[in-house]
Amino acid sequence: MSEPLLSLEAVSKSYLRGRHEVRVLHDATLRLYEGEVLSVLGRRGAGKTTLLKLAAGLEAPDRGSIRLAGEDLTALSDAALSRLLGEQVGWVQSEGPRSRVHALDYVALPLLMSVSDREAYGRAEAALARVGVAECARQGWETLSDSERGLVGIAHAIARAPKLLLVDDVSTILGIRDTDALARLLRTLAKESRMSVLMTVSESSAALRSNRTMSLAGGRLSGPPDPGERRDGDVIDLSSRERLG
Amino acid sequence: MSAGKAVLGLVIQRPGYGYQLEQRVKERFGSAQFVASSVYKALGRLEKDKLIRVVGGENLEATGDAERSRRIKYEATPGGVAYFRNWLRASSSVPLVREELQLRIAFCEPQDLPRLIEVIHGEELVCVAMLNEFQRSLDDDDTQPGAHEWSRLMDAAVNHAEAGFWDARIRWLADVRILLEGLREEAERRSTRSLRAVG
Repeated sequence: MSEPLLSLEAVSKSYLRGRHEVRVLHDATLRLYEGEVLSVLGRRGAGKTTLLKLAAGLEAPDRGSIRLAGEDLTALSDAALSRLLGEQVGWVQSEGPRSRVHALDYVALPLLMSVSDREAYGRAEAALARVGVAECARQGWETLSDSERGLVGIAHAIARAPKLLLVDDVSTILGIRDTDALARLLRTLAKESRMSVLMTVSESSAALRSNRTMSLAGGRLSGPPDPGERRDGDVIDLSSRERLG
Repeated sequence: MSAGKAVLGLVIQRPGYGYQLEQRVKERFGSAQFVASSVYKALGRLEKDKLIRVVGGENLEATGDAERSRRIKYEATPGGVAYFRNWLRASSSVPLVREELQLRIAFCEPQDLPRLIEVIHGEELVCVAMLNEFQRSLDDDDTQPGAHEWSRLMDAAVNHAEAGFWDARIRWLADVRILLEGLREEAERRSTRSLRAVG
């Protein structure tokens, strides 16, 4: 098996909420490979967004190592980390732009700092077309439907052709049809562009088109850390349940 | 969920050999955890009730019922289709909740916590593995040519039900585990304080 694009090895992370220590991750291991879609299932407050921030180097782990594209994120300078994130990582969030902008401007925005206006808008139009909402280009964000916002958010994140796409629970307000369509789109994008997708979901129906799903609850990340592999502790043999009991 | 209804629905959708139907039941209704023998028994019953009929396969009169059902091809009869349509439109019955783990939790004592937490986390891992198995079965769906938009959406609705089953199960197990882990930590803190007081 090739090297993973992203790996979290034995990562622990907790923070203080008032007097209480909240354990977000305890000894968590996760590996994401090129072209793979991995979903992490967990309810609100389980630490899904913190996991994505750790994966993007925006938060440091208390223990363990995090590597992205061969780089140890905890050892990089701020400048090197910013460059790596700018080049390799796209982030899809359920919240859109705070100011009133057209969908096309929103998608072009991250490109304007690195390429000419003409190229930025050309690539933004292509990204909107790629996710199937080219007709929304001149619409204001506030006039878009929930599913269109999800798709424009994906266009915003893929316009720079990142290697890693982080998707933060965007399907929570979508119905069956839109959830299925969005999940299929992410799978197709990953397959065609060899992009890796780490997606957090509150409901596993949003993860059905993923290659793999892990579950995050009470600091424990459960499930297959590698495609087709299981850790020693990942008891799958159903007959063993009686033994455990 | 009855194995008979699941099998009849699948035969109506597409005729197939018994072994194919057993595989399709596993892929579509994995959470029901039907074993192969219950699928073959269901095929035998449906054939006897003239809801499905044999349309191909080998002459296997000398073999056992399950082996015969495995190796012959079935299709639905008009009576089977009518029966299934009637059932489809009838009111649903409320499923019974029968869960051995609930009993174990109900009767557990503080000293059982470490073991019970381990058992519950084991169940969580099994459920996440089952969800992954279900995802893998959907990978194959994508390769089927000519999938109609209507069928795709109905499949999505059914798939959401299957996913919802695992969601609810994983969520409940995680909630109980977190509760028990909290209780164990409290007990450990109390015990440390008592030891300090004695010392």
